[in-house]
Amino acid sequence: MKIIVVGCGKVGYAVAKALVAEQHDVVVIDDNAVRIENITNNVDVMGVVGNGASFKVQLEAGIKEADLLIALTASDELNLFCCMIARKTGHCQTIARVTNPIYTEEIPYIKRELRLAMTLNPESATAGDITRLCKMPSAIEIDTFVKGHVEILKVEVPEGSFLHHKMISEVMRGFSEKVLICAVERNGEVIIPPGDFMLMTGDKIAIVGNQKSSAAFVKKMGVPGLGKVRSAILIGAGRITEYVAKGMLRQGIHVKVFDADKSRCEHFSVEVPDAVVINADASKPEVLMEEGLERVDAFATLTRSDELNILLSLYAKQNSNCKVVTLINHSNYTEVTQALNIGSIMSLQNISTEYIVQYVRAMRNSQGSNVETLYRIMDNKVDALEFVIGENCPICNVPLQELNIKSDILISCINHFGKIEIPNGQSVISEGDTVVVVTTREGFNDITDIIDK
Amino acid sequence: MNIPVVVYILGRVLQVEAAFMALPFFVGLIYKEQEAFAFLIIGAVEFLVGWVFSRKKPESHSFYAKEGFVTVSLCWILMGIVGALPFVLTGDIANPLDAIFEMVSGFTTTGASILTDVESLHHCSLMWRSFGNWIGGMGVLVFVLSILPLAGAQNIYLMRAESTGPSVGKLVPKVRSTAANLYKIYCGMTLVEFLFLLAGGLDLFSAVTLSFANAGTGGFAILNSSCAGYSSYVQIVLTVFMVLFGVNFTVYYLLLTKRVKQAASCEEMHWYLGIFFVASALIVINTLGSFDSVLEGVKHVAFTVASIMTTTGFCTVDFDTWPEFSKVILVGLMFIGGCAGSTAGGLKVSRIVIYLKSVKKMFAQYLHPRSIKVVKFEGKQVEHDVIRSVNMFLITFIFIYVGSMLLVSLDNHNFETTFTAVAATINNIGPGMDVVGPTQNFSGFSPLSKVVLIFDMLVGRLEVFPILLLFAPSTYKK
Repeated sequence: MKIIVVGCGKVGYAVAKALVAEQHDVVVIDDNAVRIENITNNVDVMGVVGNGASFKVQLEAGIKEADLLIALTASDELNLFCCMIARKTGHCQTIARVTNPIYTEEIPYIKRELRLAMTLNPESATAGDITRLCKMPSAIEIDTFVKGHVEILKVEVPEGSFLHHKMISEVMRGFSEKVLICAVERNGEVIIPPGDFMLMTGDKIAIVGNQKSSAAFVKKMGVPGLGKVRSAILIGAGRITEYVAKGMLRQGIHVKVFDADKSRCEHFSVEVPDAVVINADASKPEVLMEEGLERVDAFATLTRSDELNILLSLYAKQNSNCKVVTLINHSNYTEVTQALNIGSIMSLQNISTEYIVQYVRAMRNSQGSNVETLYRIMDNKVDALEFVIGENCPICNVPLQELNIKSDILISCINHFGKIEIPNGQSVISEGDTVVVVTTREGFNDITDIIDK
Repeated sequence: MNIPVVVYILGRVLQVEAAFMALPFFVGLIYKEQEAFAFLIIGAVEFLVGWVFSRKKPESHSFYAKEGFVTVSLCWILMGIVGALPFVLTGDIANPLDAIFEMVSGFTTTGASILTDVESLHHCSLMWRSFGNWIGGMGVLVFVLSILPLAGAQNIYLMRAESTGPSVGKLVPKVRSTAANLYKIYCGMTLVEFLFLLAGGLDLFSAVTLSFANAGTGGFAILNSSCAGYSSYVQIVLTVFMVLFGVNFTVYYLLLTKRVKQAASCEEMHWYLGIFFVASALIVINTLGSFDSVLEGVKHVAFTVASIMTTTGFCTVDFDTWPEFSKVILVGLMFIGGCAGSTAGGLKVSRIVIYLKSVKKMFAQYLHPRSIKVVKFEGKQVEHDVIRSVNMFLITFIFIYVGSMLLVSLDNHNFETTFTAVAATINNIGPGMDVVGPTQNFSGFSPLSKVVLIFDMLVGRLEVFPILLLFAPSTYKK
C-alpha cells in the first residue's frame, strides 16, 4: 500500500521503519530537512520537506494515490488538520495522533466528524498497559486478545520453580487449569515450543489463558510474592503519568506522584486531585526513602528522560521488592535495556508502531488477506494472528493433532461464538470460529497457510 | 569499511557487463564476423569472475556513504578496463591504453575517440562502443539496483554516488522501483528515437547505434564524418532527442504520472531551454553569412548547440571554423551542461542557477549587510549545506581542471587545444577545438595525457567526489 507519514520524530521514524519492513511504499513529510535526510539515509522511504498540512506538500507526496495518511507530529491540532486536508484532497484513510487529555472524551466526536479511521494515543495506550500490569504484577508484559477475553502474560521462570528442567507436555498434564505456553524467550531468542521442549530457570515464557487460570498458573510456578498492588509511586508528572494515575485511582490504588517542577505539580494536582503530588527531585535517594519506597507495591518511572528512568528503576529494584516499570521514550538500545534489571519496560515507539501496523494489516485484509487482527508480542518478535474460519475450510472438523502443522506455529486459542477454548490435541475447529495463531514466521495470509503441504 | 559488500556488488556489476556483451556478440554473428567471439570469450570469463566475487553473500549489510563512493568508483574503473579487452582481442584497437581510453570515453558518455578511422572497425566493436554510451548514460549501478534485490535503504548511497546533480532524490518511495522507473523511461525514449530514425530511412544498424549514442548523450558515431552525412530529417530528430535527453528525468516521470502542471513548472528545465535558445540565436546571428540559407544555418547551429550543451558531441559541421564569438559561447556551454538527473554531463544547469542566485544574494548582502535572504530553487529554499557542497564542487572541479591542464600541457600543444581537450573530457562532451576539434581526434596525445584525460572523464561522469575519495587514504582508515 502507499502510505504517507507526516511528522518524522521518534514515533514517526519508528512507524515508517515498521511499515517499510512490511513492504509498503512510504513517503514521509517533515518540515525539518535534517530529519528527512536522516530517515531517507537509513530507511527506504521518499522524503518531502514541508508542512504536512499544506495541500501542495501533500500533493507532492502523492496524496492522490495514497491509501493511508498517518499524522504523527507533536501537535494534536496539526495532526487533525493534516487529516482534514488529506480527506478533502485524496481518497485515503487517515490516522491522527491525539495525545492531549483534554480531547480524550471528545475522541469519538472528533473521529466521527473528521471521518478519521483511527486516533492514536501512545501515552494513553502505554498507560493502559501499565495499569493492567499492576493488576498482575508478576507478569513482565500483558497483552489481551479477542476483544479482551484472552490474555497473554509474559513471566520469567523463577529460581527453584517446579518448571525447571521439565518438558512442557509434562507440566501441562499435571495442571488442571486450561493454559498454554505459546512462546519461550531464552537468551534473547524467541522459540515457539513444541511439546517436548525443556524449560529452564530464567526462561521468559508467554502464557495464554483467561485471567483466572493464568493467575493460578503463575502462582503455582512460584513467582515470588507480588500480591495485589495497593500503592504506587510514579515519577514525573507528565501526560502518561496523568493517564496512569487516573487508571490506578479507578482501581483503588493509592498513587504518589513526584516531580521537581512546581508548576507541573500544580497542573497535575488540578487534573488528578485524588493523587498525592510531591514537589521534590526524585533523583535524590533520601526523598524516595522518606516517602516510603521500601513499602510501596509498584514503582513506575515515567519521565521524559530515559537515563533518569533507568537509573531510578535500578535504584528501586535494589531497595525495594516492588513491581518496577520503566518507560523508554526514545532509546534504541533495546538489547542493553533488556539486560538491565529495571523491571517491565514500556516503549512508546513500540506501542505506537504496534497499533499502526495492526491497523494497516487489517486494512490490507479487506484487500485479500484473511487475517482479522494482528498483535505483536515478546518485544515484537512474535506475531499473534487472529483468523476467522470461513466456509469449507480444510482444517475444519479435524482434531488438531491430526493436522500437519508447520513448525514454529501454535494455535493458541479458539473462540467458539464467545466461548474461549485453550486448545489441545483433541480440539476441533469449526466453521465461524476465530482462532489465534502464534508464530515467529512471517507472511501469513490465510489460515490454510499453517498447514505443511 | 565493509569490503565483502563492495566485492559482492562489484561481482554483480561484472556479471551485468558480461551479459551486456551478448549484444555485440550477436551483432557480430549477424555480420558473420569472427571477431564477435572475442566478446563471447571475454564475456564468459567476466561472468565467471563476477560469479566468484558475488558467490558469498555478505553477512554484514552495513553500507554507508563511504562504501557507496568506493563501490561506484571501483565499478566504473573496472568496467572500463574489462570493457576494453574485446577491442584489444579483436585487434580493432591494438594498444591497450587506447582501448581503455575509448571504452571509458564510451561509458562516461564522453564520446572522445582516439580512432582516426572509425569506419574500419568491425560491426561488433562499433556496436559495443555505442552500447557503452547507452549503458553509462543512466548508470550501471542504477541498473543493478533495479534488478537486484539488495534490500535496504542504504542503496540510496549507491544511487547518489552515480547519479548526477547537486541533490539526488527519489521518484517513488523505494530505491529499487525508482531505479526501475528511471530505466523504463530511458528504454522507452530510446525506443521511440530508434523508431523515428528508422522511419527516416536509416538502416537498422545505424539507427540502433545512433539511438544508443544519443540516449546516453555519448556521441560515438559510426561514420568518420560523425552526423554530417545524414539527411536533414535524421539530423533534426537527433537534435530534438539530444535536447530531450538533457532534461531532468523527473520531468518525464511526472508526465507519465499525469502531473503535467508540476512537470511544466520545473525551474531547471526553463533555464535549460532558455540557455539553449539564447545561445542558438546568438550563434545563428554571428554565423549568418557562412551557410547557404538561414534555415540551413538554424538547423546546423541548433544541432551543434544541442550536441555541445547536452555534452553529446555529435557534429554536422566543423564548428572549429566558426567565428571566435560563437566558439567562446560553445566553450561556455560545454561547462554548463545539461540538467541534473539527466544523462548529460557538465556542471549541470541547476548548479549554475544556484551559483547565479548565490551571487545575487551576496550582492544584496553587500548593499544591506543586515539583510537576510535565502536562495530558492524549484520553489524551495536551498539548504545551506547544499549551497556549500555546490560551491566546493566548483572549487574542486577547478583544481582538477588546472592540474589536468598542467599535465596535458607537457605535450606542448597550443593553449586552445590543451584547454578544450580537458574541457571536452571532464565535461563528457567529446570534441573540443583545434587539434581535438570535431573533425580531429585524441590520438595525438602522449600516454600520460591519455591517462590524465581518462581520469578526467571519470571525474566528470561521477561528479568529482567519488573518484577523489577512492584515492584518498583517509577513506580506508579504521
